[in-house]
Amino acid sequence: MQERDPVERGPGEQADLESRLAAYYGPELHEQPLPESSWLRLRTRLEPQRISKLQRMQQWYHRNESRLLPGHLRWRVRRNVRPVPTYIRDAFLRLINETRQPYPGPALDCSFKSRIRVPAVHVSPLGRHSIRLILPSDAAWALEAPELEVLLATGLARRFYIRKPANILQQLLFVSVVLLASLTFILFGMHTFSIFPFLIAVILGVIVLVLKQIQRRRRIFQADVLMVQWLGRSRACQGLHTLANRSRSRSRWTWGEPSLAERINRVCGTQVPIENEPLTLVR
Amino acid sequence: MITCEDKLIQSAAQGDQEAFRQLWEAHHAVAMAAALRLCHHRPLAEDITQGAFLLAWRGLSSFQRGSPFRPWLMRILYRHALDEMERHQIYQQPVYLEEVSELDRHGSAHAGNPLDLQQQIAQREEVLRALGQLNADQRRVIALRYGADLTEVDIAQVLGWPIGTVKSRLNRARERLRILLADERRR
Repeated sequence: MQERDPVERGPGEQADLESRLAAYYGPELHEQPLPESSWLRLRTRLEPQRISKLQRMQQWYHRNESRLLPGHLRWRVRRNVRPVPTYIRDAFLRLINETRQPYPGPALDCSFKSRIRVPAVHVSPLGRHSIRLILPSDAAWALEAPELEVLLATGLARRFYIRKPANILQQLLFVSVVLLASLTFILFGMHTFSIFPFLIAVILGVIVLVLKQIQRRRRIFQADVLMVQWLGRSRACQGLHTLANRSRSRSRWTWGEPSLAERINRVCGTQVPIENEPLTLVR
Repeated sequence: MITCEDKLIQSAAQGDQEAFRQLWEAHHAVAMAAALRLCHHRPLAEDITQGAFLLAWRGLSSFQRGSPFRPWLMRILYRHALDEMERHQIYQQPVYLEEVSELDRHGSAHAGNPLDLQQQIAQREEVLRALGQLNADQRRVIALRYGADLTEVDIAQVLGWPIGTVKSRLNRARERLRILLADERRR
């Protein structure tokens, strides 16, 4: 330690030091909000809390409740609709705002299922709560931002097409044709005691069902184009790939729902017209 | 929806990340501002804020129920920030233009005495060099006193030192700084 110099330790010197340190650190700062990505990065680092044996037993019970409960109570448990997690709700509201959805905007529901691996979105044509996210119960808090945005934008876009008056009319027409035709043929068949009217009714029903599914697939791909417009191609592509990585077989498809591989091929390939790709709206 | 902070803390302590997210939403901006003021480096401040929340997450089970969350979090943040600043040897690094403009943006102490950028950088470098020559404990106590505006009692709480130790280290640090800055000026 150097020797103290009494001349240099006067009040002026003291004030100078204080002011220089105050200048170095600066005044107290206003709040500095961080972007959403900062929380997402932190979330990936949050390891499970150490929990007691009792809490672990409670968690096990909740996971296996559906197997433990008697049959007449299972429906309620299997449905398992819980409040929408805040980060999903925030992302949804942001998306609604950025895509300028007409008021009143759609509401979002979330259900958690233990038997699925890939999160999905279900859209129903009726009601305000028409978009439902179906999430694997163990991954409820681990959705990456791009896949969440893809799911939500897909839901909104499909809802947009599903609620178009032309589509609703088409659906009604299909149903009416099937019902009327089936009824006519069945009545005719009962009257003549012949098998052919029944067969024609069945074939007609199958044809209408197939047409309906073809139309549904077309609507899904149209919705994907809209989703790309909202999110931007790279974001949409990233989200779809993240979803596909969760799946064991990305080329698996269900009735009326194309596989993720097919959607990726269309979204990330060149099959979505480039003129439909404006600025990215969502981070 | 859970709104009470105690309930959020309790849920987060049981592993509820959504509850912890709400705590993050409520407190991270203040924590970030405190970290930024200490280290003047935005990416490092963000790392410090995240690190402090991670430490808080791990320590939630030992959090005293009923006490306010923010002072507890800020104690963690200050300790973590001081460790990180030492680890990154920020006192050995040059002053960046970005750092000065960051301070300017928030209304630096130079507001009444406008200095050009060159002078500001030179002055900051002098203080930084002087701080770099203190020992780590002296730097910690100076940072908390002037960079976090903590009282000696608060500093004692944050660093876990007796109050007498804080006072003596603070005095010695000031003394040493005064000499070092006077030397700098003579050069």
